[in-house]
Amino acid sequence: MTAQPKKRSVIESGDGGLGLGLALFISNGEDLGPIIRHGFDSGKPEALMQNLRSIVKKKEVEIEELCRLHYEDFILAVDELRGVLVDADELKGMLTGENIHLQKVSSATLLNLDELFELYSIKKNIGEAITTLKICVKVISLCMACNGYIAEAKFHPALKTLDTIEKGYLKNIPLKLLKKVVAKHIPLIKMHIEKKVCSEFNDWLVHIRRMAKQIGQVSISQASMARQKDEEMRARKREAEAHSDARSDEHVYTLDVENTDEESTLNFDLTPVYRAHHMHICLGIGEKFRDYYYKNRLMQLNLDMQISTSQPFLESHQPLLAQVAGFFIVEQRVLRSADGLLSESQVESTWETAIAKITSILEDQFARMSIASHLLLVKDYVTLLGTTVSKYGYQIAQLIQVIAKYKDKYHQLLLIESRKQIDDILANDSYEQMIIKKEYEYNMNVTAFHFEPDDVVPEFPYVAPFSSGVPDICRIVRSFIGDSVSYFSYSARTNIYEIVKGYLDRLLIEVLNDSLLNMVYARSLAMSQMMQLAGNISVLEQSCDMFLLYSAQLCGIPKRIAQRSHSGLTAKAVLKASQNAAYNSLINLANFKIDEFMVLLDDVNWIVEEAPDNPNEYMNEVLIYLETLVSTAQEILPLEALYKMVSGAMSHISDSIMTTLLNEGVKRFTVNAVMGLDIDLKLLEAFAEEKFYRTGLVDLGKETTFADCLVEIRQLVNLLLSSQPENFMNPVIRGRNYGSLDYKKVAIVCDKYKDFADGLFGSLSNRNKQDARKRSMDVLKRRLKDFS
Amino acid sequence: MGGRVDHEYSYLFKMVLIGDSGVGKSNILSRFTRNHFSLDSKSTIGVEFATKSLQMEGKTIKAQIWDTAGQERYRAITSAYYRGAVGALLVYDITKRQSFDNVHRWLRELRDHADSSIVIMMVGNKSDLIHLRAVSEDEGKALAEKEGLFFLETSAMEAVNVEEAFQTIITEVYGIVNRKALAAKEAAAASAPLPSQGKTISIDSAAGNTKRACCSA
Repeated sequence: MTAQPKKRSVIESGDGGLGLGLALFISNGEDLGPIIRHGFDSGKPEALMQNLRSIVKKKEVEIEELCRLHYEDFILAVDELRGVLVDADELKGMLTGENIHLQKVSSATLLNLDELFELYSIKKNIGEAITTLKICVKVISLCMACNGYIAEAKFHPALKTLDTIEKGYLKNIPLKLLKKVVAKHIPLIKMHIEKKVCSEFNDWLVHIRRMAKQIGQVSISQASMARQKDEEMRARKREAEAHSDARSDEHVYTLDVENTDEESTLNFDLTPVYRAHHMHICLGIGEKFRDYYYKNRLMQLNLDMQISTSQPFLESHQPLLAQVAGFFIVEQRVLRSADGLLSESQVESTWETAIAKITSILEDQFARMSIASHLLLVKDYVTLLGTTVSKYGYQIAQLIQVIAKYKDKYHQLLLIESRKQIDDILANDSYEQMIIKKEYEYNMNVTAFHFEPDDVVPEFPYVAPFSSGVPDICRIVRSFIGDSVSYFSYSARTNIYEIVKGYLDRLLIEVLNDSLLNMVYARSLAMSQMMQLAGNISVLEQSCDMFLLYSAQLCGIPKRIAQRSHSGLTAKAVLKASQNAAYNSLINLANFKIDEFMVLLDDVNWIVEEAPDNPNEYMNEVLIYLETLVSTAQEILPLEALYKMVSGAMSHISDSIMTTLLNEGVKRFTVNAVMGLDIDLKLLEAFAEEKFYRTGLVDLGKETTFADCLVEIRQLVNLLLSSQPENFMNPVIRGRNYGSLDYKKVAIVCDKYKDFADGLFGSLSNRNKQDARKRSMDVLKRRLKDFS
Repeated sequence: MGGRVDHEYSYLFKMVLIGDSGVGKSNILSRFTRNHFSLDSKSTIGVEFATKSLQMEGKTIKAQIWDTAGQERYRAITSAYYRGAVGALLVYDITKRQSFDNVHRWLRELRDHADSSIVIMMVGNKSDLIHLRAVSEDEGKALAEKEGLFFLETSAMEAVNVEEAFQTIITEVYGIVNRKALAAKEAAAASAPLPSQGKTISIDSAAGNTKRACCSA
């Protein structure tokens, strides 16, 4: 109620705008600084000062009013305060007394209290000491535990303990010295653990490097056994197919007995690897260990793949490849089970390095090998390696490529070896028909190669159409086929039949055929031997189909499919050609022999005075020879060849006689000599006729008989013995009777023709006849001269 | 002081380290002379040498060890440094079979250029790399026996057998030198004309000869 009147009075004073503003500012408690500065700056400080003094006066009036109003209350308050003062003094005295009294009473208790405080302090110190010691005891017991673990080589709990010490206690160890020692030894212990673990791991590396070869060998031998089972299965299948009757009761069951030793080898221990890897991860250096593992294993691999220079590759390649196989089996296991120790790309990279090295070694060694079986031996082991590692997921295309790359080399070596063997056989063959006396001999040399129908069993002794060289050669060819197929087995994914066929053709053409031709042209064989050689070639030519079937069989192609195939071996045609070459050689040989007898023609008395009763000596010899020739050839040669040979012989004899008459060796001859030739020819013609029918050659349907081969000489003799030789000039008669004769030859021969009818003592009874012939001959001579 | 120390030895033995490049010859040298091993090893260029003094039977022996480059291109300059060598360490790397196979070639070089009485020790280094071993210890022993060499496997990295290898050669050479000195002494004693006076003079003369011979070596 007081405040309101004051406000009203302020408003009512009406001191002007400035005063009102100032009063408002002051009542609001605002800062007057700016206003005062403004006043002085504007040059009107007096007005401001007056206003401020005015406000002060008003305030003083208000204060006085307020004091007057409360004066009475103030007096009363002061009186009351003085009363309180007296009370306070009184109370003070009482307290002093109480205090003195209390001091007397409780001095003993205070002493006890001091003792108590001291004891509390001691307790606190001891508590702190105990706390400190507890920590120290804990740390030290952890250290002791850690030492124990390390002593027992239990590194994982040791590391756990170290971690506990390091993370949980190290910062809190109150004793500086202990803290320092522990801090110093933790890394040392970790380093020790790392060293120990690494040492253990290195021991494992030594161990696994030694074991790798065994692991590889066991794995490869398992692959080998699996392959053997495959082969047995395939062989049984081939037999069943060969018999071509379904025998369901021939299923054979075998009990697979596991080899426990091999199993234990393949269950190699990787614990040290896991342990080392885990330890390094716990130590925080897992990456370092992974790097160490990878680098050292790579170095081990490179060491393992250095081939021995002191040992032949043939001996060293198996341990080498087994070592590599074992290495990668181990790596695959580590990759699968060691939780990030190896990466897929690392293993692949290592494998690529290894296979490139192996490929290089193989190429180098294959290039240097000179025996086919060695190459095959290594190839087999390489394919076993391929089979083994591909089961573990490794890519083996490069191995297959190397093998494919050297197939030509391999087959070249096979061809060389086969050539040697075949040449030996041909050189040592007696070229006589084989005489087989026992059934097993027959089976071995005839049935095995299907030279006769399989269901026929002959009577013994059996005389074969071939000599002993033929079955021997067939065995070599079959062996070649087997070796060729062996090279491609387990290494070629495509159909190998066509490839094997190609190489078989090469064997038969480049090796067998060449060797046979060499024998044909070598002129080292007698006539009967040459015949046998020709017969052998015939048999071998027919064997081409058998070889082809055998190839198909080994390549896994069913017999009926192979038989239906129309593409045969080129070698068949080539051998056929060689057969003809042999026949030609036979003919040449026969003719050469005949020439030896025909030389006796030189001994003939061409101016004999009496007609002979007997054939000339040369003809006797020739006939004996021809008799032998035909009887031998008849047993060995096919009819076609027999025909060719005898025809050739006959033609040769005819030509020989003709040549003799034409030669300078014969200056002149008489009709009696011609009559001798006639006797010779009659004998020869009789022989030819007999053989032509007796040997069955007539069945060939040839238009030309053996006698036809003698036609030229026959016509000449007929002309010379004719009573009217001048008829030769008559075209009709000449065409009919003397068609094979040549003008020039007749002219030469007729010039040599002399008749001794002019002799002083010629028979009177023949005079007329001889005269007529003489005249006719003279006419012929003249006309031939005119003609030429 | 340095000068005095340099001259305070009874014998100076020159030794050479030979073998293929990279087998660890330089690390063997540094391990023996400075007890230092370096993983980051660079190929030696030409020839380097270091010395170390040892005590033997109260005498100071100073070993002067020459380290050679194993590489082919430095081969020409190395024939000279064989001169005067009393011992040789023929080093191969047990993880490199080729370095072992080449021991024969290094032996031939020694026999062509070095003194015939040189003491040779064959050293298979890097024995700590057990997991990369390519040459077994037995193979090393067999070859050493066959060629009449001393043999040890060492690890310069782990300081295994390095000291022993040098010690063996030095002991052997010291024995040879002593036997030579003794023989000289006996020969001198035998030829003395006056017993008492000659003996005294001979002893002094022999000692002098021995020292001089070692210095010249």
